[in-house]
Amino acid sequence: MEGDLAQPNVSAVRVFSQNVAKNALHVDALLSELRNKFDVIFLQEPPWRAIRRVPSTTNRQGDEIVGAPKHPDWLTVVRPPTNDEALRVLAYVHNRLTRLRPSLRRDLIDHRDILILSLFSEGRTINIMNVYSDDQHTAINLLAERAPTLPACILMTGDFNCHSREWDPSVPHHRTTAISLLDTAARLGLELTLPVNPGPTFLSHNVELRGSVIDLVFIKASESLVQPCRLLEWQGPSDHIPLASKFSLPSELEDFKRVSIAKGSDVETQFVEQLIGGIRSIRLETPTTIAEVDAMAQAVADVFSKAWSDNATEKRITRRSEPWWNDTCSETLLQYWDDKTPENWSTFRKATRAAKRKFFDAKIKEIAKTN
Amino acid sequence: MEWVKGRKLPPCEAIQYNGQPCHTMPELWDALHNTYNSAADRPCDLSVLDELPDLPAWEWASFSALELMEALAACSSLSSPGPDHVTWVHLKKIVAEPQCLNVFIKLANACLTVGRWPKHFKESVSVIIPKPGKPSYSAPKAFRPIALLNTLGKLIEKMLSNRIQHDMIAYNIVDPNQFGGIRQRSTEDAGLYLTHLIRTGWARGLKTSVIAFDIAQFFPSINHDALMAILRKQGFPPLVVNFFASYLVGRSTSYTWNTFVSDLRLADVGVGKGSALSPVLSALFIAPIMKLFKLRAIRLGSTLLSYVDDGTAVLFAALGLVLEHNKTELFHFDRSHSDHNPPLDLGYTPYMGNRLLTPKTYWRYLAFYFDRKLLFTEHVRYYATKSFSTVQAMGMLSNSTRGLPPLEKHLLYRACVQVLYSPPRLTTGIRWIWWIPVDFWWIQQDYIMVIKRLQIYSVDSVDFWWIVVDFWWTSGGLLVDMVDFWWILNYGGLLVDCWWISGGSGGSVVDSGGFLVDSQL
Repeated sequence: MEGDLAQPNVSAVRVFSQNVAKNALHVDALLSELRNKFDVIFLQEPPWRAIRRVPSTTNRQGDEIVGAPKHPDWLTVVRPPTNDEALRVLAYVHNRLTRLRPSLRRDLIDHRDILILSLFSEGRTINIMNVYSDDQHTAINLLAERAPTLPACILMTGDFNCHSREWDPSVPHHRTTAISLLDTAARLGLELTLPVNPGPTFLSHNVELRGSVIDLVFIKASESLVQPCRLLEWQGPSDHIPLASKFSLPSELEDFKRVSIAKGSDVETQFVEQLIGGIRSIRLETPTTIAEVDAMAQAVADVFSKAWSDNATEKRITRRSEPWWNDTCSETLLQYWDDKTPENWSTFRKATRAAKRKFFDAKIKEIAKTN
Repeated sequence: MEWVKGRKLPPCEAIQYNGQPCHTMPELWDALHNTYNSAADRPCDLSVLDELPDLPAWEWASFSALELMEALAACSSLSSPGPDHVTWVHLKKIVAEPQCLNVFIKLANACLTVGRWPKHFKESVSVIIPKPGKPSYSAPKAFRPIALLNTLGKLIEKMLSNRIQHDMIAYNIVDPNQFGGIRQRSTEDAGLYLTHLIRTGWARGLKTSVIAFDIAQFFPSINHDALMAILRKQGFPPLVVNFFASYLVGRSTSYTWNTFVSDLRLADVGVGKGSALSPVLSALFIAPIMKLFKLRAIRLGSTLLSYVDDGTAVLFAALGLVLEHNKTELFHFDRSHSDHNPPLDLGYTPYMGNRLLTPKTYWRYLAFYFDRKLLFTEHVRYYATKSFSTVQAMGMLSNSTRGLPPLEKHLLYRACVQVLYSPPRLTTGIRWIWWIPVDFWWIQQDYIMVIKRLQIYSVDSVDFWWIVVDFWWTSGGLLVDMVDFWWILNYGGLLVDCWWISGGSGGSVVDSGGFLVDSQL
């Protein structure tokens, strides 16, 4: 289920779901630890608090910045809370799913307890749902009411705060709310799937109280790849145990590549030389008709496009690419990888420091000059 | 400084257009394309132009190599290239070869003499970026396209634009009240002109009221037929008019959104975004409206002032322009002590009957904050607080023992704070106080107090200490740093006294400060 390395191509979406009890530190830890293990993180009761004050034009004390933890690898999908009410559901989508255009669907349900996330793949829409239902069963009742208007979903997970003998053997009853929940799920094309390692998902901090099952995973049977499981090691300080689930994508996602010519590189010099050579070879006659003007402009355009296609190379751009990195850095790093001697490590360090210095000195000079 | 501001949430909502969600990429491109080109095919009535006299046509000379070099020298080496990937830096290297330069000049001249704008120059890439600070990103209107054209075409446009800029003034085409898209006329001129009008009014015992209009989607809604008719009327050589007939049609663009790229789409509306000719063409388009207004309004005693699109409803409609009514603003300039601030019935929807246009207490126009008595306290307060907060944020970067060295702090200060409150922002306010007649010396005094309090005590003292703290005992190095503060001294003896106090508590600071004061005054 987990532990597999970052795959170059994504064919399945791994979803992590937990009620984090407003613990910001735990969320920070999850975001950095789960980078390569999961693609979507669904949180219930996430932290949403003042982070720091920033200088403002209206307030001497500064404006407060309020928000949830952020991480450069994850896109925060959130319906910002209004009127100081607490945030109930939050989602993080990993950047490797950017090509699926993850979007928050406020047009379907605009409620603080339910978050519908859509992924668009090859003309198909994949809807996944993150739910937090409070002790009044607000979300369950709302879902039951709205189910006829909602599109089919692939996954619904979250903290339902609902007991039933259907998913918890220690509970004797199966009451109306639980029946209604199962009914709604069936309408959306989902099935309740119990974890591979069954057990309580809620363990109260009061040790005298018995654990119970209130976090559930509903998944479309045909899309489910592995049975969900409880991840005891990721519980953290929360009183809920996280759940992991996985579903397949209709088609494999390919990495995004871009063709480019690096600034200041030898390739760029070659590119400019080819441009100059090409334009020199254009016959120098004063065009007098529309066709001749078009032909001359086309000749110039052809020189430009040929020089580009001859020299541009494909480059993978990641969030971790550093702007100051240059060829010397790559070379020295490769040398170090070859033999792993401390001397080569120090040459690599020296190369990176020199590259950084050169890059930032140029940047500072540029700012100083243009202002 | 962007990094001290509040964080923005990335746009994560599904885009909807006309109430329908856009799920597939073609739907999304359609939504974006239609939003940015919505002004197509508005009817227009060109008979309004008949009131204006035809100006005689003038001669057209061909482009020289010097013109090309000058236009190219003004181009930033940092701007992104168009679809052919050739940047300004590359172009500068290419034209260094005389033979290549010759090819480009021949092509530029041929474009005008033949009256043809080749297809290659009409292609562009529109990068869709979210507009900052929107509460919701579910509508295409929350995004803006940045058009990137091919650089060679843009260079020829720039040369042509430079020519028209000159001819506009030389042949008296534009009205002196028109400020947008014209070289050497800035927002500051517009502000000064408005203050001048108000003050002359007051001197005659009149009160001045301002109604500000906003034209919706100005660039895309410029009608081609109307533009051609206007150009002919303004005496442009037939060859230039012919060129524009070819220039305005057949433009295409491909949209880029995140990592997605759309197919080429025809974008023929108005004048092209990202082109160097668009501001000039829009200025030429507004010019007859200004002239017509002048002709009709002589007996009304009102003036029309325009800055690009913040500029009378009938005339606009005749040329196919639509006013965005919810952005119409009313402001009365009144120096009496009464609080009389009456709303206005404009006589057309939505400001008719019982829904009147209510005046504002402060009016923001072209980054100036006007108040009713032209004291500019609000303006100074806004920009002083802004620069104060920036300086406060800079304090995070270093203290006396670690962090940025003074030289870099100095650079940072110049880059981030001086642009905020040195010319033309805060000092505009300062310069305007000299408009206050000497009879009203107490207002002048008041005003100077405001500046003293805000500028000297808040911004500069904090900033000054922050920069010089490392040079505490070295007067030589301090001088270098303080050269930047000289302009404060230029604003009169009063301010210098004040500055002395703020810098006077450290031994050597006084000496070198004193020396600097002497050398400057």
